[in-house]
Amino acid sequence: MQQLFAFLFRSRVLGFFLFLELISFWLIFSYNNLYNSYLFNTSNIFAGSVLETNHNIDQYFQLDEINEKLLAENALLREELAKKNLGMMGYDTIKGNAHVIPARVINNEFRKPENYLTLDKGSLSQIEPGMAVISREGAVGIIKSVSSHFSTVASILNRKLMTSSQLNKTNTLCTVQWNLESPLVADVKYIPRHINIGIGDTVSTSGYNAVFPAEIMLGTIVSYQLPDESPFYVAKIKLSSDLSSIDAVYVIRNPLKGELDSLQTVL
Amino acid sequence: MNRVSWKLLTFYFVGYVILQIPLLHKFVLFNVAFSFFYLGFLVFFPLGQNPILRLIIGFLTGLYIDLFSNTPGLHASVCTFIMLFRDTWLMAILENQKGILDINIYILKMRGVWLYVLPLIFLHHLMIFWINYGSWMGLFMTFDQISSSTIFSLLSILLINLVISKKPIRI
Repeated sequence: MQQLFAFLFRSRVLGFFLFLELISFWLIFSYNNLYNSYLFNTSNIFAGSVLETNHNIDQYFQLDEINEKLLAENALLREELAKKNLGMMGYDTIKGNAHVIPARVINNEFRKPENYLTLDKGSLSQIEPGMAVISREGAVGIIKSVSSHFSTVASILNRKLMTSSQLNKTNTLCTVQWNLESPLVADVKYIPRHINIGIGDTVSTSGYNAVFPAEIMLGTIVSYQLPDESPFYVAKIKLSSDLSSIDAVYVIRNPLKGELDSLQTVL
Repeated sequence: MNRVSWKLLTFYFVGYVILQIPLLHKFVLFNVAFSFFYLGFLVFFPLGQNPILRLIIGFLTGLYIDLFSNTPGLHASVCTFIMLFRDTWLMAILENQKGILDINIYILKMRGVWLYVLPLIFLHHLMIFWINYGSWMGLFMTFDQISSSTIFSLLSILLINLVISKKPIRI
């Protein structure tokens, strides 16, 4: 017995090392699930507030640029208002049964295989995991985890995220997934070979998964091939929203999501 | 026998670890070279401390970086691993200078940089990119990132150390 204790005492450093490694790898593997939220990410209150201060300092030096963006956005909003007054507004799904929560991006990454954004709004602004995030230009990502004041977003530049989408010309269902190549380009998969596609065709969300509303712009096709044996096209799109310089986003709250999801699981 | 300078250690902590957070996503050259200069704190941590304390310092430093980069466990696991055998490695490099506790660039000299700092940084980056991409294939794809990041991190670590540490006065 004494020898056992002596042995344990001698190998205490190695034992402690293995214990710490176990914790680390448990953290790595438990975070791998896209929708699970854990303490150690940028949506917790400590990291969030530090990043917010950091962002505020940064913003001071970018005021000119931000001003220009706001002017551009204002112009666009005026245009949409005018359209609405004429009864020609698109985005019917958003208008019909969803709420829009504006938020600012306080931390942004786009160079890793799995990229996340941090927003300055959280559960107090009624943001919940699983909601869609869009920008003026198009789809941005899905809320992953939420604290009371901050939330993290798995952006579409995340190789684990497959977005149900459609080719607007023919309403063909397809899937958009990032390919790690560049923050501006993503793959479009599962377009069947009997469909005629061309460069410049637009791809948008399909609205089938109840996360993204239908017809949120994803991008335009920049290149495609049709390998001889493949039943599907191999195509790439240029993403409509440039996630490397993104500041203002809108979180889409779909009150009917729960109803739709539970109905689909019954099937 | 010199004593550990807590003042120097605090400067190291601020210069390497605290400063890394605001610069984490900004110190990127040509989209391939990343600078993980927080590693300097572990590289220049005083020699001869309690090994359990060393492991805890490595783990917490890594966890702190993970907290801000949405990679829980990634940096923590690699830093703990580095800290396990760091002292043995360093002791072998500094064989003829017994009793040195504080480590800086003037004590390590060029030999220490080539045989200790550079390989340690390379090992750290190799493991970070390997675990992050999750496959050997990814490792080959990102070899340019690993090698250029190693050089970038090494330069920033040495530069920060030149600013913080004082040149020893010969009596």
